[in-house]
Amino acid sequence: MNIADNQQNNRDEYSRLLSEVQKIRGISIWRDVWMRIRKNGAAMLSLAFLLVLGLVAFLAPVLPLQSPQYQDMVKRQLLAPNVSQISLYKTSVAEYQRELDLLYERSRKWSEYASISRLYDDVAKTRTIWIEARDEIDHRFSNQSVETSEILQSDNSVPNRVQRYFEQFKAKRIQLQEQVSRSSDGQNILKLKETIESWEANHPIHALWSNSGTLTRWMLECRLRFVGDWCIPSVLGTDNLGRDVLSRVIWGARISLIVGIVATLVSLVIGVSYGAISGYCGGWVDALMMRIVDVIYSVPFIFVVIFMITIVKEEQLASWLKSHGIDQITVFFLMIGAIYWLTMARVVRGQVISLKQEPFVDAARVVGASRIRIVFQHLVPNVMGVVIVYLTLTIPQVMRFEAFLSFLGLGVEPPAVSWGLLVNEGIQVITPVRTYWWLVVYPGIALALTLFGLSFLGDGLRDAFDPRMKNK
Amino acid sequence: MNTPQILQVGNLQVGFRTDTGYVSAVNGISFDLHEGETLGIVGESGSGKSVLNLAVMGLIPQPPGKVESGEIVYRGQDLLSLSSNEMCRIRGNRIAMIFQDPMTALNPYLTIEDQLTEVTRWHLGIPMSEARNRAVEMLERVGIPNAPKRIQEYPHQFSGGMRQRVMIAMALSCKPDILIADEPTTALDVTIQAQILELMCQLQEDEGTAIILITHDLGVVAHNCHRVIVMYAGRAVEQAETEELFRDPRHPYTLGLLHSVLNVQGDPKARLQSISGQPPDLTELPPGCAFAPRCSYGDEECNQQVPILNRIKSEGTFREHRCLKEIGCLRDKGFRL
Amino acid sequence: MLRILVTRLGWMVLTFWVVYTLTFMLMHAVPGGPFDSERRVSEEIKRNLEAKYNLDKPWIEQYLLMLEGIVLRGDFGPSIRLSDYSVNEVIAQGFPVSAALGIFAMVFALSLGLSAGVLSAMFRGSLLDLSFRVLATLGIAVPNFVLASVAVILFSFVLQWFPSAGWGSLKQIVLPALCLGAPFAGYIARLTRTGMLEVLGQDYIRTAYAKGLSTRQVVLKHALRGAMLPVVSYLGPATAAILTGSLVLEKIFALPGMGSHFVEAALQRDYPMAMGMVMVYTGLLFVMNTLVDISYGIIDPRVDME
Repeated sequence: MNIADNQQNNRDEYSRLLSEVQKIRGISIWRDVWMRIRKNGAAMLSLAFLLVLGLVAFLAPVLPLQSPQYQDMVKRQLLAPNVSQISLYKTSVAEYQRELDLLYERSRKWSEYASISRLYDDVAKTRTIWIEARDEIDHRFSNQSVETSEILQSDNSVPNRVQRYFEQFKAKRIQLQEQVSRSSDGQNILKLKETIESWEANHPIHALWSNSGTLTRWMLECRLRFVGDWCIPSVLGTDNLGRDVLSRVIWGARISLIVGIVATLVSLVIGVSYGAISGYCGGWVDALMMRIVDVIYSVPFIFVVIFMITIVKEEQLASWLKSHGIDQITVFFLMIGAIYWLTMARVVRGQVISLKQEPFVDAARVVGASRIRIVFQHLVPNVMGVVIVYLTLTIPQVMRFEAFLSFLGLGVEPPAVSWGLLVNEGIQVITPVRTYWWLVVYPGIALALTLFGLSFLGDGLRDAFDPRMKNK
Repeated sequence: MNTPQILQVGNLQVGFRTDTGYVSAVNGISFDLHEGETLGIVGESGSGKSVLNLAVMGLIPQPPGKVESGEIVYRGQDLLSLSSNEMCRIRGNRIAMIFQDPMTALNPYLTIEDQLTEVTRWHLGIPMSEARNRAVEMLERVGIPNAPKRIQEYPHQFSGGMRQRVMIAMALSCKPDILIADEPTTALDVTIQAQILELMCQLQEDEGTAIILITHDLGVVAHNCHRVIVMYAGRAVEQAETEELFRDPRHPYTLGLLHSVLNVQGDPKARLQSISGQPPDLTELPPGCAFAPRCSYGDEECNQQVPILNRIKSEGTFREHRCLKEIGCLRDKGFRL
Repeated sequence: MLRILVTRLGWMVLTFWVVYTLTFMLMHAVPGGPFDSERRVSEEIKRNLEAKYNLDKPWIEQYLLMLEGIVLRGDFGPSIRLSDYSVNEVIAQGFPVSAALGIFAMVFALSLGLSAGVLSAMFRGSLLDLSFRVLATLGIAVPNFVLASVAVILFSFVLQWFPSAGWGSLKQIVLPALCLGAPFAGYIARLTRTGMLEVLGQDYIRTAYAKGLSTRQVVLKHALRGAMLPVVSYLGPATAAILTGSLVLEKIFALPGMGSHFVEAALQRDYPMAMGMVMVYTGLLFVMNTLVDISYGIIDPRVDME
């Protein structure tokens, strides 16, 4: 009786304690961080600036900017900033686009157009493959060091391949001819398709905005349809080839930002996982992993980079990479990211090691939190503050590194533009006699402001993340 | 205690500005400290006991903290009116402090010698050799074996109890009038706790130092303190001679604290009682008695009206409490929380 | 201590070997050789030249021959590009210049960065703190060649205080050293500020204040050591970055350091020269990292040197 009573009392007591504990609500660290960062004026301003910058960079093709590539060394070389409105291009690009749009409009009337068009493209594609193979064999035969017999030996040898490609091309062509003759309007459709193709090939957009991807191309067309040829005058001046600085700065933002962000993310992913694994495992794994970092630290990476770049820029390799969908920018990201992870790994490892011994981790373990929960709910948010501080140190580093490589002529290659390249071009034309300051100053300001913004945002985040700074 | 007063704190108010609002950490506290006396300050975490003593030391971080009003008079001098230079001369010299966690309170980058001699050289202006002798002597007095050799070592080479001994040696090396000990034993093993407290008592007897002992351990209070102040939510809810407080608590909170302690002599089957509810959010104190929401004695009146301080004098001593209910000798009436 | 140094030496040898092998492989992975770009070289001359630099031998033999030269004689061989010089001569001429530039820049960066960082942390949130932080961010944000060209325009062309190029006098070293050191001063100021704020929140700082020490004593004696640890560990990477930065500044200010040979050697396939440069920089970095580790152990007694 007494015991039962006691148990009842115990149960009541515990349920009361439980309900009491449940009333206490924690705030998730991320909400806490957001609430605190909102009060930080400089950080919010930086965040807004960076968001706007990102948006402007993304929307660059839609904005009524001049072409970043259009050169005019006669009339527009090294103009100081001005607002005089001039029509730039010999032919109206918008007009051209309108005509092209009309052709497409016409094509839509025929239901068979789509299939014929597809076949036409296939023919063109197979033809290119064939031509390339044929040129390759010509090239090989002209090179005397290769024995003819050697070429003819294997079944997959070049002449056999050329033959095969040619057969494929012929088959497609016959298919197209059949399709055309089957359709009542076949000839007209084919003619229209050919016209459209030649218009596309001669589109001035290629000369003014080369190397643009599908999305960029679509955005450019939108801009031509809605805004037309009108563009903002050279309010930031022009460079020594007569190109508009404003549009180059904005187009340059695209590459500079992407290099900064993607390369840093690469380094973040490598560094954090490497450091966390090393720190969490401890023991000989840790010792080995850190020794590897030590050795890599002692490698003068700039040399490695220069070697790598000379390798990547080598024509054969470059075209091989390109055919596999990897352009130089991607290689660039990976390379820079692969360099800057070392410090991150060391820092994260140190943090994880010291955090692992903190009582709150034991506390979490005691209440039965799983390993994953401990790492992500308890360790990662605590490491996050330091990681973000190093991120804000790394992004400027990466962007400066890109500028540095551009300075040495190893970075982004024209016609692509980046801020580093722009500043570098500006420096080239500085003379004691006359300084074309706008060439250095505007891209320099863009670079500095962005790095400023990143830095203040990072500081704000640090303060927001660091619980010890909470009430200071 | 019938010795002269050495420290008088009058109506002290300390507040902090935080993200979530203004926190009144110490809200109108007054007490006197006599020479050679040990004054205990008890209360839950966040009741303002540490802030009170940091204010006495002049170590409230400003901003966000601020001593809003009141006075702290040491030997006829209001410490709050001193310049920071003058305060530096008193701090560590006449009023010393030891902290809760000896593991972090010593500088890990400096040797024990550096940290000990620095106080005496600075305050007493004695040369290095003399300061070193004195430091070794102090270490021996606090019971550190092989002191001349160990003085060259760094804090991480000492155990927790040893570090607290070093802290005590450091605090007492200028023979201060007042020693403030902020939970000096909380971070230590139970066996070490007793040793440290014993050491402090012994040194107090030798030197006649007055001690303010901050703790939440009523056992420590019972054995070491002459007077006790019970703090709750920034206010002193009760102040009395130790014996009287334990015999006859006048505030329900004090009573609650006493009930939550294991009594060895009592009924071995009796259950320990806890005080229900949580301490109040200091940014939003209730309009009336801060303890009212958790008090089984509280009624509407308690929720509305801040209780005034009741002062009862008897035989050259006095006691104070802050409760509207004259609950008198609660235990005698068989009161249970 | 001796054991540590011996272990370190072992690692150094290993590092050198790894770097040597890596560099060798990278250099020879690049298609083409040093004589490909020169149009008017006949096959015979090319063959002779290649024989002179051992380039006609198989890779493995080249690898061993070069290694042998370096290990046994400390000789990197003749430069391919600068046909009258050996690599050792080029290094002997350029190294003092680069080293002096680097040391000046480092001293400047440390003295400015540390004091700015400490002051910033002590007066957190004040106008002084804000302006130091803006300056530090500016130093970090502006690439050093932008800074250098602005400095040249301003101080050499407009104000004519310092020469715009050349080497030899103290006046000529000021501008390049300042431009080279500026970003590092910025980093160091940031790191010091962060470290200082962290340390100032520690319990032992409260203890130091409770002892009655003045703010100056607390900061200089108790806080600075802990706050300097991140700076010290940054000095390793900073050395690498200064090496990189000096490439640019030597180019802008026309200084006869190693930097100009650095890029050229890689681009023009001057294998012995490139190898020499890589090994010198590796050695420098290794020594610097070792020094950093040792001073870390001196500053923080808790760090176990073993």
